[in-house]
Amino acid sequence: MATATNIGTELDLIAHLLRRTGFGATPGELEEAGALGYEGTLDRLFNPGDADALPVDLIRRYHADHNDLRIPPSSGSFWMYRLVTTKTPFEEKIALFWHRVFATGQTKVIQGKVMISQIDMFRKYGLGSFRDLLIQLSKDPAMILWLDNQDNHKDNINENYGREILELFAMGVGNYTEDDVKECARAFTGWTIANMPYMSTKMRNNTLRPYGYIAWQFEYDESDHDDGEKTFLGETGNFTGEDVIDIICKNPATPLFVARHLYHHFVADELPVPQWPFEGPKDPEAIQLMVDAYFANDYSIGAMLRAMFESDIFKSESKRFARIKSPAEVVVGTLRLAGDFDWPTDDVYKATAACNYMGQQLLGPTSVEGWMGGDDWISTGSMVQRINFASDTIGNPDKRGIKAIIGRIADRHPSGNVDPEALVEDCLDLVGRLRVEDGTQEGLVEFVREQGDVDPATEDGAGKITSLLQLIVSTREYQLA
Amino acid sequence: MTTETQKQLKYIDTNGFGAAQGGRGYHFPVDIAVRKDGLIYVLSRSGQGSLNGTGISVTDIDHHWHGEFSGYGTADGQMQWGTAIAIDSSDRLFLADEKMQRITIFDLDNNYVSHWGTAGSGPGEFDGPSGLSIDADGNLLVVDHKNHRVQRYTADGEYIDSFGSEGSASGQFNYPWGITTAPDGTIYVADWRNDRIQRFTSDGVFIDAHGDSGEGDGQFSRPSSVAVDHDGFIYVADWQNQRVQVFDKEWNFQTIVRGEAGLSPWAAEYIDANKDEKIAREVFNPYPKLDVDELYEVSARTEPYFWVPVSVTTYGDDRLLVLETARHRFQIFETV
Amino acid sequence: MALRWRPVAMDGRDNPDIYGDPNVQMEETMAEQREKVLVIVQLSGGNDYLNCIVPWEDPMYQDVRSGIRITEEDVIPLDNGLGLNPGMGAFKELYDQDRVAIIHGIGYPTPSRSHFRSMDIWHTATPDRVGDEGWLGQAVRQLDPTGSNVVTAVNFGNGLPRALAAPGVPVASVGDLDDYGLLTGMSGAAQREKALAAFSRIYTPGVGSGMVMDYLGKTGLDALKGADILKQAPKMYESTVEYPDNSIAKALKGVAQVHFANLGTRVFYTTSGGWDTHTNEISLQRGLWEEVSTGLRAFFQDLEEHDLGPEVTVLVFSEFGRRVKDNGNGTDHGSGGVSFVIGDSVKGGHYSEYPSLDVGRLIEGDLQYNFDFRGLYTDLLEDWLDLDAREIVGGNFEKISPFAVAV
Repeated sequence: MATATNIGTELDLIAHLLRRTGFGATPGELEEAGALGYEGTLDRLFNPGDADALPVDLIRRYHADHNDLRIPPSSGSFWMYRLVTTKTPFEEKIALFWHRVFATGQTKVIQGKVMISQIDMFRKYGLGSFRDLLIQLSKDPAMILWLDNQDNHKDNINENYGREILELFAMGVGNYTEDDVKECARAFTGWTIANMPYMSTKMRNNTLRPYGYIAWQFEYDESDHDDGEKTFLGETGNFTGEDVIDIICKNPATPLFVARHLYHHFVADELPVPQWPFEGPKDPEAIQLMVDAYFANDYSIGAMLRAMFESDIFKSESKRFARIKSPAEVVVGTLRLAGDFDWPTDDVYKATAACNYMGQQLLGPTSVEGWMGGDDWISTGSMVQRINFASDTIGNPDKRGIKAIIGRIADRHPSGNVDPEALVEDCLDLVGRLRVEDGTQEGLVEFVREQGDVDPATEDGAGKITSLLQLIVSTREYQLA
Repeated sequence: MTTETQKQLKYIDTNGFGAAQGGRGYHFPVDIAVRKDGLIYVLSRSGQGSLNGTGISVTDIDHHWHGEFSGYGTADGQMQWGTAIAIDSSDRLFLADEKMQRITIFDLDNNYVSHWGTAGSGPGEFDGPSGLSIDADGNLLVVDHKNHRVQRYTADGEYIDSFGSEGSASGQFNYPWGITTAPDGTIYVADWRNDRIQRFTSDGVFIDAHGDSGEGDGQFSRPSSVAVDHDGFIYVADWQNQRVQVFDKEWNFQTIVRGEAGLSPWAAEYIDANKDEKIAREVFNPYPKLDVDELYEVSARTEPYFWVPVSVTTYGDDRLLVLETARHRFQIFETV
Repeated sequence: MALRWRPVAMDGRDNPDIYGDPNVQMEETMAEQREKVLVIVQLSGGNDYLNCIVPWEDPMYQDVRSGIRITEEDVIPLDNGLGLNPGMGAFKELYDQDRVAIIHGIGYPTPSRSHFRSMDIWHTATPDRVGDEGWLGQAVRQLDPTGSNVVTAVNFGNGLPRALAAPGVPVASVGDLDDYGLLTGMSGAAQREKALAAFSRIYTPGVGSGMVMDYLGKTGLDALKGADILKQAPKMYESTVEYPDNSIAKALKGVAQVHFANLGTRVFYTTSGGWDTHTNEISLQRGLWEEVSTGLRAFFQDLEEHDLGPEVTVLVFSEFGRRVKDNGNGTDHGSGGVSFVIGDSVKGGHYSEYPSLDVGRLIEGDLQYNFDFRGLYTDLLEDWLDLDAREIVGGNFEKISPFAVAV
């Protein structure tokens, strides 16, 4: 079925790791990682240096609207810069992961500033203890207003957050009762934001007037907290929100649920979440591995992932290209390959919009259930967007990344003309060791053959290589990670 | 440093309103200029998704609205990425556009007159015109920021000379932004990415530089604009520190203000039309207790504080206007 | 939320016309009788009802709109004491031709003043929860249950409006009909042709590729086919009608081109943006209505010239109306608005009632809606597209019956 190309070597394994923990690798990045080896690359992923992304002061000077991050094109493209230019893409992959699981939407919370702060929090806590993360999440102002916890009062509970932390964020349906939901909600009474009446009115009225939005501040209102006795998941006490989170975190259902999400995001497409109560995980052994790491390492998400990445399950060939890329992966991976956004540019809005048109508005999931993922990403409309965005982005031989690829091909073939088979192999290698089916490879070779001779050192040759790269990022295989 | 004679800034008033679609108010304003008859001009750069909010608005110290002109586009008299405005002694207004690399002139009735500018790094060419000021001789100073220099033109756009180059030594710049000519003719440049203010003689000869990176008194984080009053006191928009600092002419630190805006009449009219917001605002504490100390974040959560104070200018003998990009308003202070 | 994991279509080759020559297919369908078509014009941002259909003689109007009133000199008088925004001159012509039904006071229970949420409610017809399928996406599924025609629904604009989103329902989203297609970034027409030919080859599933690759292959080829079909439309189009030069008129011209080409498209979607008139309302709203009105007038002239008017009905809607009291220079988000149904088959005039401006009748300073939009959707689905509306709008809602009896 598949060719043996780009599958068997350690470098292929590293490329697999970088697709999952980042957005694929440019030839330079892959070379660096190759020098470290698989274990060395893992060490660096879990001990990253500075993100060294495009500086925020430059972004804000040129994009006046990135000063308040109010509307989705502004907040989305502010994140887009970071996604495309960071030297530590694993952080962003983690942020995207939690953004999908703890799906909070600017569609309701309206101002983008508090969404960006939530993403910052995911970066900071996303690989640490799940307990710390849930506490931060419960105090996150965007989450509080997204799930109406500001309306969760001592004498009149609103169980929205109390329910979703159990159902969607930590445990999954079937592991708690309706009474647990109510008791959980009681524990989170009083977890609100400062100036709640005015802030929620402005959110409801969806208005920047008079002076723009005021970013929200978490506030614990002790006088509105229900301090009474609660029975939650079989334990009884005068539980606070923190106590409830402790009980959630030690419950065996929790790491099972989190591990399945991690598997879905980092290993292979799983069934959509609503089916989980009825169908077991595709790969129970992988899930168990992560569950064990969770309990052995103080609920550490990073330890779960590290155990996964070190396992033979993750490394196996069946897990290569086993996920359909999310729109963010398509957009960001392609822009990184092309070497875009070295300096502020209006193109960032096009990239953010393209991601939206493909079905993933950054910071704007359509519901609390986040994006389904898998083949849900694929429709005729989204395919047009995916193919056109990728091929447009790659279609300029003067871009830093494209120039680098062409330069490497020229270096490999100092004598001039490259034969079509070799050129296709080179290009597949240089876009991150992409594996394609025989039929695809033959089609690409035929396309090159129709172009006539290709001398990478010439402008004509560079143009032809660019066309081939455009076709490669339009393939079915490029849709997979 | 504390002495009896220190300069203080006393808050008086706020003018503004978020007007994403144009009309009475501003949207992501980036520069402000005062005409000698007291009219106040505000350049709204606006942003993606709200190009109608781009233009130059005219108001006065008593909150009258005198309309707006220019707008988003590439035609004569329009702008894309407006960066600065300046008004000369014959009431002609100059507008810098860093995307189209051009300076546009409007007459005293806000009608388009002409424009000039081409992209490049040679004499008379631009790579990102930003700050503008009229010098002591009535010529126009243009901060050509990505060329790290200041160029001088006649009021009709004829190139005269330039000074500065890229770097951090005396007289060199790192993406400079705002510029002003003091009443005595001295030229002040906000050397943005060097976190300092530099002074030059009216001939462009380096005098001195002040400031280094930081959040302390007398330190800067990306200063964007500077103004000088008749007594030589210096006001700096300390852009990324979300504050305005005041110095005497020997750079002795005087004071810092962070802003204390109240509702402008336009804002009050809006609140009156929206009763639910009015009621909610009655129990609104403008200075909530915060759990962060990063200055940008503090300003984002505190409505009266400056949020991205981008431009400062004097008004009459004893007032200072502080324009805030992210709050679509300017605050008025008395200099006492 | 419904379970959305669906069986992957296994083999597109069972359906030979997926790979057929679009030109051939079109000639075959050309002779068929035209089916009814629904065109949506969405006004994004919140069209101010009071300054659109203006109760200009009502003293209460004059009172609440002290800052931004449409004055006696500017208003275009209509009837029933109402007038039109001065930008709606061309619209008045359509009204005078008895082609416009004005649906007053349209809205839904517990109004949201959020653009996103309110638009989402209109798109999914589910005010009480977050809906997961668009109302028109569901309509398209009923029209073409097997998805055999990839251009049953065509959106003019980027991305997919939620109204059209439903799993497994193909929708073509066209930015600009003149250069719509795949691999648009390829430089040179010849090069692009070669690339498209290669694309078609490499998307054809090989033996034993697996479900995911097969699904990607079929979807990619469907997308290619839709592009091939749609790009024929401008080539076949001839008309003497000049459309004004603005984006909504351009989209409506695209609708006419695709409709005339008879590709089997039943639902068209277009959008006009910029209606969020918090400031500068008098000038902004007038300019926007001029664009929409003159665009619609040209569109109906074009239909008439091609004798294809009776098959087309247009719905014009906005996500909400605006606050009754102005803020000095504009108006803020409110509730209760106006929609229009326009076409040769429409019985023109006023439907439902203009809500009272009396302070005592307002809800939180907003107009009280008096007609549920899901009733209008029911009219359009049942009496125009001949579909089962109940499942789509989630129940039975009072209709207004805007169509002439003969429909």
